[in-house]
Parts: sequence; C-alpha cells; structure tokens
Amino acid sequence: MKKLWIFSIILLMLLPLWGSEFERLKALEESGVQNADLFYNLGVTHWQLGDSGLSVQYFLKALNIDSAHSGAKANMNYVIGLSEDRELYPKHGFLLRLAMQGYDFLNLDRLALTLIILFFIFVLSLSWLLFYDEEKERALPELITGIALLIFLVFALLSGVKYYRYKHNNKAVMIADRADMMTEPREDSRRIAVTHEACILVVEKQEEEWALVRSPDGKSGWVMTQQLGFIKE
Amino acid sequence: MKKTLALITLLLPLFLFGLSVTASVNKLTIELGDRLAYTLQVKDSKRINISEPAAPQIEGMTFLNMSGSSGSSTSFINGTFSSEQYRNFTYFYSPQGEGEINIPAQKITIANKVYTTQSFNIKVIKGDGSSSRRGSSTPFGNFGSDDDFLPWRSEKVQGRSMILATLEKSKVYKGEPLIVSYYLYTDQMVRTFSIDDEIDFAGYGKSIFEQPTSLEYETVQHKGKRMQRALLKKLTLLPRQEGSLKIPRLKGSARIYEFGYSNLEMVSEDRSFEVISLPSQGVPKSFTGAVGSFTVSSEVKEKEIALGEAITLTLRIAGRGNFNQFGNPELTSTNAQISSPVPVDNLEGGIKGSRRLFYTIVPAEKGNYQIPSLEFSWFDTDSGKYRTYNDESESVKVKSANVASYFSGLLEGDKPATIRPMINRDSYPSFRPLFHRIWYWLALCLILIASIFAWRVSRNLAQERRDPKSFRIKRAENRLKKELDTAQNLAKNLDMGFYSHAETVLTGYLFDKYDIPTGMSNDEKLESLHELAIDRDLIAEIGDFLGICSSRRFQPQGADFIEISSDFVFFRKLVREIIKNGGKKQ
Repeated sequence: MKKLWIFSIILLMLLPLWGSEFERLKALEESGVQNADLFYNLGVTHWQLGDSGLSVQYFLKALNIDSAHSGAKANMNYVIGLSEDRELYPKHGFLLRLAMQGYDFLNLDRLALTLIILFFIFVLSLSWLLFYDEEKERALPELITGIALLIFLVFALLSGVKYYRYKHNNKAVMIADRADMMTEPREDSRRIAVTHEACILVVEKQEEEWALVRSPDGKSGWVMTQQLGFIKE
Repeated sequence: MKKTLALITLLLPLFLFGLSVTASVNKLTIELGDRLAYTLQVKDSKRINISEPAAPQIEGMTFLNMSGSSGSSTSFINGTFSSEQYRNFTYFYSPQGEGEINIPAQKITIANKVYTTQSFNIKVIKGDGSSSRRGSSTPFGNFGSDDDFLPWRSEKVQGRSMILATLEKSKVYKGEPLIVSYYLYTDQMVRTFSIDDEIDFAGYGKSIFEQPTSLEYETVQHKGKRMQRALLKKLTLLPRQEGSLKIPRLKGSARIYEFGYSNLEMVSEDRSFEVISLPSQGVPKSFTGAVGSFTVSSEVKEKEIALGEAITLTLRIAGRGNFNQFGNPELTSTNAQISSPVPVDNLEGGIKGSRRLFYTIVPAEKGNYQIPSLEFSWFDTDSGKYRTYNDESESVKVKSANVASYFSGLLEGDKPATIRPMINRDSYPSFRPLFHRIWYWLALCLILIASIFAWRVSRNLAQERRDPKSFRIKRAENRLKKELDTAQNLAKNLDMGFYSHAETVLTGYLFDKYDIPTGMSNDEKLESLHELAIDRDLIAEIGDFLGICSSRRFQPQGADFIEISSDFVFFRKLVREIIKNGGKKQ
C-alpha cells in the first residue's frame, strides 16, 4: 500500500513534466525542426493519448528522415498490427523482407557515405587498371573495376530514389476513425472501400479537399484530405 | 525640496490613475429582510478588460444575485487631461439573522497582481415591519418596488430551473451497465452551468459516459409545460450489489441572465434503481463476469503454415456490456506455444463497441495442428440467461520448415509485443542530409580530380611504354618550354645564373633528344649534332649560344641589361626553333 502511494505521488509529480514535454516537442515541431527522434517521441505521445493515426503519421515522418530508425519502425508495426486494416497489408516472403530491411538500414546519410566510399574504390580500381602493364593479362583489374562501377551505379540509383522519396514522400495516414473511399471526389459518389484510423495510404493525386489514395491492398479511391495526415505537408 | 515637490505634483496623476480596486456597501446597518449591496469598483486609466470576480462568501448572508456596470470620466490636473475608466460589480445579499456580520477583505487578482479591499462590519437589526423586502430570502424572491439599488423589478424575475436525471432502465442485473443522464430543465435564460459536486452512494462503480462542454438546448414538454432541456452529464453505473440503489446526486450552479446576472445553485432530484442478482443456477465454467448483450465470433486466417511460423486466432466480442469487468478467455495447448491474448478495444464509454483478442499460436510439430477450442461465457441481459460461445475447432496444416524459416527469427523485430518508450534527448538538431553538405561534394570533387590526375599520369606512362623515344622527346620539349620561363625570370633580374641555367637546359635537351652526353665539350656536342643530320644553321646557332654562355659566365664585370636581354631573346628564338621543327632540316 505504501509503495502504491509512493508510485502515485511520483506519477502525479511526473504528469506535469510529461505534459510540458509534449508541449515542448510540439513547439519544436512547429518551429520547423526536422528530427527523427523528435517525430518518434511525438508518435509515442500521440499513441499514449489514444491517437493511433497521428502516432503512425509521426513514426512515418521519423522514418522518412531516418529509414533505419528501429524504434519508429517497431512502434509503427506495433500500431499497424493493432489497427482495423492490418489485414490489408501484403505479406512478403522472407527474402523480400530481408532485402527491404537492408534498404531501410541504408538511410540517406549511410547511403551518402557508402556512395563516396564506393566512388573512391571505383577510382582506385580504375587507377589500378590504368596503371596496369599493357603487356600483361588485364582481365582481373577489368573485372574488379567493372564490379566496382556496377556497385557504385546501383548505390547511386538507390541514393537517388531514396532522396527523391525523402523530398517527395507521397504517403499519408488515415487520422479519422474511419473514412469511405469514393469513386469520385464527391460525397454522393459510390463507395469503393472503407479505411480506418492508422491505415497507411499512398496519395496519387490531390484536388482541393479530396485526395486520390491507394490502400495497402491496392484499391484506389477518393477521400477527404482533412481525414488524412500527410508525411510531407 | 521644491524640485521634489514639483516632481511629486507632476507624477501625482500617474499615482492617482493607476489601477485600483475598492469595495463599498450601501448600508452599515440593515434590517432583517433588507438587502445589502456590496460593490467592488475597479478603476484604471486604460480600458479595463477583466472577467467579473466571484461573489464574496459572507458568513451570515445569503448571496442573491449581482449586477455590473462600467463607465469613464475625464479630469484636468496640472494642465494634463486624464481619462479614467471604471467597472462596478455589485453583489446583493440578504442577512440570515440579527447580529454583527463581518465582510472580510477581498483579494482580487488582475493581471497577475493581487489587490486587497477593506473589510466591513455590518449590523443586522430586527426590522419594524415597514421594510417591503422582508421575508424574501430566496434569490428569486419578491424585491420591493422601492428597491432603488436594484436594476430590475422583482416581478420580472420569473421561471424555473432544475436538474432532472433519466435512467435507461429502472431494473438492471448486477454488473450490467446503466447509463444515467442528467439534464438541466429551464424556462429561464441560463447561460452557463457549472457542476460543483457529485455525491455518490454505495453499491456501484461509475465512469463518465459523456460530458458536453456547452449547453445544447432542445425544447421539451415537462409536466405539460414547454421547457428547454440541455444535457449536463451522462454517467455509467456498474452495480456491484443487489437491491435498491440511489443514483449519484449532482450539485451545480446555473448562471441566469435576466436584467443582470444571478447565480442559482441546484441539486438533482434523488432517484433509485433496482439491481437484480445473477442466477446462481447454470453458471458456465468459463464465465468470468461478462454481463451484457454480446455477439461473439472467431477467425483464423492461416490455413497452411511452415513449422516455426505463427497462427493468429482472433476472438471478437461486440455489443454492450461491462467490457472492463470481465477476464479474457485463455487458450492452452501442449503441442504449441500460445501467447496471452492481446486485447484491442473500440469502445464508446467503455461499454459499447467491440473488443478483439489476438492469440498467437506457434505449433511445435509438423502435421495437422488442431487449434484448441476457445470458450467464452456471459450473462445475456436480453434473455436473462447465461450463454456460451464455442468456436469451431479448426485445423491448420503445418509443413516442414524451409531454409528461410530458420532465419525467420532475424526479422522478429517486425512484430513487437509492446510500444517502445520515448527517447531521452536534450536537443533535437534539425536533420540535414549529407547530400546537402558542402564538404561532401568537396570530398567527391577531390576524388574526381585525383582520378583525372591518375588518368593523365597513366596515359603518359602508357605512351612512354609504347614509344619511349618520342615520349622522351616530347617530355624534353615540355621541359624546355617550362625552363624557358625560369630563364626569363633570371634574365629579368639580371642574374648571371641565367647563362648556366640556359646552358644546362639546352644540353639536357640535347641529351634527352639525341642522347648527346652532357659531359662532352661544346665542340664535341656540335660534332655529334652534325652526325645526326641536324640543320646546319641551327647547329651554328646552338654553338653560338653555348659560346655566349661560356664567355658571359667568366666575364669579370658580368653582363649588363642589354646583353642579358638580347641573350635571352636569342635563347628564346633558339628554343622555339628547336621545338618548331624538331631540329630537322627544312
């Protein structure tokens, strides 16, 4: 009983701190700070407040900055796993999941560093090839240079794709309890499907108050933009 | 002293017209049944923007109502016009008995500053019966027509306001949620209502089902009278004991506007409801206290899995009932690992909606796995009977594990069991990708430049390997061109080193191009050039220049500007001719 009292007192003392921390985080976000940990913490606080849609939105924002943010990834999967629409997400095989995890591990900065290292390796192997005695068999330096160039080009492509996605992330999260996906951007049009809070959607087009979105199971329909939380505002 | 007085005189208006709060009463001696008007006046030189202070609590007096007024005045002091604003808040009280009554000093907070007023002692005496206000101690009593300090006449204050509670049912089962709605019924202008207290009685637990933030009126008929009704609060009661139980008593105060504002304190009427016990006969084994009206279903998505993979069984309980008061059914199996159920609620007020329970089952052996039957029992309040749900036992085919299955544990991080906590950070620097940093691109440029340099060097090396002779000639020519600049600088500075430098460069070139050793005498060098079929004029010029170099170097007085300049011009001409035609005959 005594422990319970002590715990309650500590909790009461910490509650205002928690409140002020949340306000501090919100103020930082409103001041334009883009930080993966900030968005992660905002996601956690929104989850604690019962806003699963907003929490997923913030976890996605954190992952947009740092795709290797393990906390944001784990929490997002946790919230999605509890959402109504969790069955809509495609289930991938082990190897594809492994590849996707590898792609996520390479966040923008890691890709940038890898790219510069690969470029250096390519230049070294190229120099080796250039300085290699013309009289000798050149297959090995040619092979090494070719592989180095190929890897460098693959990583350059990956970096380009990742950077483009970072700048133009077209994902959005359903923040309303539920919303109808319509055939036309009108309330009186036919309903295609229903999406629920915390469902991750891909925005294909936007028209004033409506957005054409694609659900995880591939269905496309129009929903009101006010029901969506965009990753890139 | 005079200066100080003048300063005080000049600053006096500022002191006079700063914010001030004063209190006053209309009478220090009043009769029983008479009204006391207690006025708080706030003055300031600026516009006063404050909300009205709460009515002071005066022991021995009953607060009736209050009124407010505001205005401004302008004065001329020491040649300066000053404007002054004021707001009056007048509170009316009725004495409860004879004697001395103290009105304590009031503390009024305006713009984070506390202002204290003076206190008053009021003497209440028994009246001689002449007071027309006698006997009207209720807030909405008959105020006399001679009540000159009241801004309205009593007969205008009419109407009724009350709190009524409605119950969904008058009879409920023990554990069955009951919603009680408290409404404000009124035919007056109630602008706001504040709930001051809620008095609970024994026998139930309670939670808020709904609490509106403003008064949303609807017109209703109450006892044949047309009235306005607004919802104040909806409570969910969860009865824990049988018998007749009293609903919570709601206390609050309404702020009524009628030619001014007045407060009216109200208490909800007492109401009771009957709680019936659950039948003791036929209680199912799996009954864990669920009471309500539910529909139950279960689902297994997987039909076939590999060994090591998981099956998810979902149990859905939907409807209305005491969701927060019953336990979740457990699953057990000897040939599988089964997790505790993870509940996900979608409930309104904790009593309406649905609950989904997720069970994760990992079979231990391959073959046909029979999912154990799941049982959930509840007391159905509609039929008054216990009911039990038994899911249809399903079987899932468990295949042999494939190679990938052995590594499935690597990706278990994808399926966390709980939310991860916040990360402690003192600061949150804004993210700037490396692609946006200048040093990143500088490093990249550096590598690029190094690669271009390497390419050029390697090209030269390759050329040297392919044709060493022509490469050496080309290199000798390049060197000659380069050394021409050095020679020019030496000549400009009248440095006698010009001659030795020019001689060295020239003989070095002859060595690089024609393999004529530098150790030979000038005559021997020229002889060798003749043997190589070089243009005779050029050989002669080379011979002349080498001769000039030898003679100038040992010239005791050194060379003057004209000599060294003309020698440099000669040297330059010689170099150009050598480079131009490679020394071949034209």
